[in-house]
Amino acid sequence: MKKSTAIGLAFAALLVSLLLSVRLGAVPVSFAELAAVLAGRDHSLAFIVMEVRLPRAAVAVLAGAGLAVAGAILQTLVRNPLASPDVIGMTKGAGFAAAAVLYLLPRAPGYALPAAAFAGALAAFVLLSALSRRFTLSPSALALVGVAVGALFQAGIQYLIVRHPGDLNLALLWLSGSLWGRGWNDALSLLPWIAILLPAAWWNFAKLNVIQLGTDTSTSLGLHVPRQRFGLMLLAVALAGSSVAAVGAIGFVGLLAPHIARGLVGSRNQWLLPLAALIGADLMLLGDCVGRIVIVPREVPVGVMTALLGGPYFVWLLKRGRRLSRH
Amino acid sequence: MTDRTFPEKQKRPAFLLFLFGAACFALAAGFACSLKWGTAHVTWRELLEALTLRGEDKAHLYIRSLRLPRTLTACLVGMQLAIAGLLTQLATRNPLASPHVFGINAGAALAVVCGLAASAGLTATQSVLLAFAGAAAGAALIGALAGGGDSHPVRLALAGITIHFLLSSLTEGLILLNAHTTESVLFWLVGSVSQAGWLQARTLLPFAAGGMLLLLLLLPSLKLLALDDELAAGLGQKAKAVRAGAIVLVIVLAGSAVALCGPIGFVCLIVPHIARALAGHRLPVLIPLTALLGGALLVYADWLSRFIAFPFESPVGIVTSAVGAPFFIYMALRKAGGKP
Repeated sequence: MKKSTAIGLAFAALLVSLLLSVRLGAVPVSFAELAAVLAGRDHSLAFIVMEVRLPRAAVAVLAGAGLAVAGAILQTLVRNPLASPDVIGMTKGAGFAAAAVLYLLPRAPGYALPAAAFAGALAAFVLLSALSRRFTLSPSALALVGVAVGALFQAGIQYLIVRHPGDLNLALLWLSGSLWGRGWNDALSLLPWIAILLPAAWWNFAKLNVIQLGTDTSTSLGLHVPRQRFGLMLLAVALAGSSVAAVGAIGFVGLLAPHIARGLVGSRNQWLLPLAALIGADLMLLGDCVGRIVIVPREVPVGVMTALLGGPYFVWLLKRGRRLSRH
Repeated sequence: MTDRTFPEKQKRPAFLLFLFGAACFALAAGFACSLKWGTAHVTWRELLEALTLRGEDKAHLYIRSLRLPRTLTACLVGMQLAIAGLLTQLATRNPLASPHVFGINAGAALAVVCGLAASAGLTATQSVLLAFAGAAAGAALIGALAGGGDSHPVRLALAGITIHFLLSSLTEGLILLNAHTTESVLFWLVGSVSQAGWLQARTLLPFAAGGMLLLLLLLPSLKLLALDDELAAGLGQKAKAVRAGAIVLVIVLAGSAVALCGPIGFVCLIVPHIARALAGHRLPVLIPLTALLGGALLVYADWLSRFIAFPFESPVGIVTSAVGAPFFIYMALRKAGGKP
């Protein structure tokens, strides 16, 4: 597929799913009503559209893009197709730190949450790289160790939840990830992170392209690999951490989106990164939409929908890897 | 398991005797701790009186109707999960395998939550039967994936844990969808024996006993599982049937444990490894030791879980995850170390 066509299609899909996610839900909004709301003529639905659905969609787009780009960078950095923020335990680490701030320091200012999530994601990544540096790991072994690191943080999240009984919705938000009750302040606290980090990631596409060739080649091409790798890694951690702070430990978006993008435009990062961001946003929006309309008026958290989609894909990926390695 | 091709040095009978003595003592001490210390204060004297059925005070009743069944349930669940883990590892010849890692526990949990969603009043036996169905479905899923049977252990474990995540996120979604969710469901989801009473212990006992009986019947042929498939086929066609029997046993043991106490993680993974490191690979020694250590581990973990957020209860699953996940990391690293 031509690269510009792919990006155009993904963008069109984003617009369509944005429209759908504003229209669909417990209270359906027709096109005419939507137009009336946007023109400022309808005040009965204005609250639902402007204060509930739009901010929610905005959070979905920002977090989906953040997770997807974090996944794309990680897959390039560790040269492992199975890597993604959730598989290597990063989202759980971020979720644990964010939940700790929410439960233990309820009066912390708004910017503390993404910062804590960043620290948690960083801790998980440092732990994993410390473990995998001592032992040279195969792709699936790294993923398995990452999953186990995630299980450790998961136990921490569960501890916080049962220690502070109360809102079950909030609790399950941190366990599976959800967009339930996200508002403009969540969108606004996520926006600066994504607005700075996404262009920063794209700015580095040339370095990522070189790193993809392997350490030896990149060194001989004049790249200081450890320093660049460290900077890019921080970028991925910050993207994943800030996204998790907004939506909880949503799985598989960071794995799926870069894979789909790579299948469409290949692995050159100047195309891969924007397409992955768009597809990640699409996945989150659509997952949220479907989760909201399958059992009205209750809703399935978006984390469950992405797991339903991503879990089978991940297993298929493993099976394919096995077949490839055997031949 | 890694060096089964080499004839193993037999452990001396005296050492084994000492080992079983120590394991029994550890279990008994765990029982004593679990009965004595907890949220409510109980004196040794009251404990002794309660156990010998003397005295009708509040403390005596408390011990007899709350702490004793809880401790017994923890012990039974620990034994069942540990044996289920050992059998899974034998049947798949994969040291990273366990019902938890392979999504069997999560399948059972999902089936029970489905049942709860359909009808609020689920009896203990009904939920056990549902859990069997769910565990079997989980096992079938991983069986379909293992397919060729020549999967690399690490890759199979990774596929299994993905299924585990998939099924448990479905369970979480279902719980959110249900209006009558309470704190206790959340506790159960993490794995907890804190609400176990005589009803749970009584429901569990026949399955534990039946499972152990079946295990005794299978014991002479379980050795086949350690052999290579060609070698087993050369000795007769029984290997497949034995493997199927072992998996049915895993479903019964793990399923009934999960139905009553939730998907308690990692006990089933670590206990067989500890037992194997201590007693070697001979099954007639390994199986009872695994059961004893599994019971002891869960009794201690349950006891510990009462204190991590004292005076509130915490689910025992948190303790087992905190202990088990690092162990799992260690195992995965050892299994995968050195491979490019």
